[in-house]
Amino acid sequence: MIIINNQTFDVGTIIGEYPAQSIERQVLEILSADGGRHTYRSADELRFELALRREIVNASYALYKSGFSFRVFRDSFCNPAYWNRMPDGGFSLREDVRPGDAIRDIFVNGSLYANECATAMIIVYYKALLEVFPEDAFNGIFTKLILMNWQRLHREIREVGNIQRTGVYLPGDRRYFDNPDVDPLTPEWQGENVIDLGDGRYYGHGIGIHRAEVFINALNGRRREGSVRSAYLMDTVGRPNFRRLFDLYVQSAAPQR
Amino acid sequence: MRHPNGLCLLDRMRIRLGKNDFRQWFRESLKQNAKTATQALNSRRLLFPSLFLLLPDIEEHNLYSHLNEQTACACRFCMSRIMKDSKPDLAFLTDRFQERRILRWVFTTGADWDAPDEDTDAYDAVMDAAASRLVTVCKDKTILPAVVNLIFRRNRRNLLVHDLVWCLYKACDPDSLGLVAAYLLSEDSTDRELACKILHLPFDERYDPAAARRQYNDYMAWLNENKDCICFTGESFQLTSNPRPVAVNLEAKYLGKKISPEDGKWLEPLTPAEKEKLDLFRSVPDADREVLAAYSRYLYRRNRRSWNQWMQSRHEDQIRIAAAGLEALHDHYK
Repeated sequence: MIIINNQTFDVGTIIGEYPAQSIERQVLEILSADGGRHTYRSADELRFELALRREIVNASYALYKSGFSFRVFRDSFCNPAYWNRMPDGGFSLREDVRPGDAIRDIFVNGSLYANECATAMIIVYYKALLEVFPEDAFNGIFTKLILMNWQRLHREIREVGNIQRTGVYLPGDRRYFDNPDVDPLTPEWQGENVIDLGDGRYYGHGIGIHRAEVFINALNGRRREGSVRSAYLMDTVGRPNFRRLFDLYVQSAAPQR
Repeated sequence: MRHPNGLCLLDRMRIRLGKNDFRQWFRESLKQNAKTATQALNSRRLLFPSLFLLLPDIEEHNLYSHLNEQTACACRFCMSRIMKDSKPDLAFLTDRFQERRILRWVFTTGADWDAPDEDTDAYDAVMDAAASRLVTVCKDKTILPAVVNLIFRRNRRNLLVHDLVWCLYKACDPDSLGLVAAYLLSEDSTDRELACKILHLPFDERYDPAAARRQYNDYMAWLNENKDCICFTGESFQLTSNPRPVAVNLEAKYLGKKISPEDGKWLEPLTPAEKEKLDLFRSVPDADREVLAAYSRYLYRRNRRSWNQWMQSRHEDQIRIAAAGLEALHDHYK
């Protein structure tokens, strides 16, 4: 159930704002049907989370279609007009470009970029935030970006690097397929970070958009000889701190003195 | 690593000439006397970095048929990594014993060497692959000190360490955590930051030797107390920013029975009496389980007779005694 101001929230009051089958509707229906308490301070905070989840899903589709390729960190590459490639294979934002332009370039010139699956997740989050925040606000908040799996995350999205157990899985959640017996010569197949797209499918960079069994089969094909343990979908999720991001969003929308 | 019997000809020339002149010298040697040159590659004292630098020449001149088993297999292993085979085939390694011997040679004679910048990625990939096969397939944990050393050396140069950290976690060796903990004492904040990340500890950028020593001592005390009852979680830097490498198995801690750090299974079957105690243990709330496990461990390691008596007491009494005992300990160390 959804709780706002200590009261059960009637999703009927806002569900009409969203088309049938939309990500927002799916999230509202799952949260309201769930027995756990999902607390928000206002309906606008709830709307913000719905919008950001929608954009996380949209950014996943967009990155999938962008031509952005999979390479291990040692072989990663990026468009030097916007990013500097770091010695460990991550990308750091050039000081003379705007963060929003640099993130957008990955989606426009995807073939100029390659990295691992976790870095793709970070790119998805930044693109979603770029769609939700006013561009100036995004450029003012998300400075000095580094794209390198879950390390050196911008402090405002640091929680996406954490995992937590949850009773409810939502579109826009980050999930993980673990491959405990991966062939040690291909550690990049030790698991796959994915975004839950809400229709029973997941986006994972390098494997694509598929149902769970496809990811499991792909990972199982990269196990070491003699393995008896299958890859599996972990019961944890990674989520941004929607509440803090909403506060930042509200501050960014407030008139400046 | 320097071979105890001193450097062989190729290693001496590599160190003296540097990469390009060394390769040029080797090519000249091949022209002058191919047999002598290839014999040098088969020296029992050869160190891996020399072989690595000469790989393009070995390939170009197709010298494989002149190489001994160790050198040829090491070359093929390197090439499979350098060519980035997506489905690596190590059929040229005939058995685990041979694989372990060859990869140990690659890693132990190669880990201390920093390749020239243009070769760093390829060389590091070979080291990572050798270490990972040794640890996860050959179950060779003797290389872990060198693995830990390599992780921190690379980290100081901002190079990729994630695959090696993954390899370290996959070793499922509680003692390896102690090797990492030693870097909590480093004056170099990059060392301390990485050690904290690997061990899932809070990091303080300011260097305070007393605080660093306290953090190290606390961690080692915790590790020693729980070594027999921790299990590796499988978390890695690919999954999360803050991997929790190990979790304490409270049931093992309570019963004083060892578990496998790899999968958490009992190393010896439980007796009927232990099973009965475990059922009772599982029936109490989480907070009581923590108390029972902590006190049991404390007593087990210090006074086995008292521990046996305590374990024989009624469950309610166990909880009462454990809570009082831990409180007294807490007061003592306050």
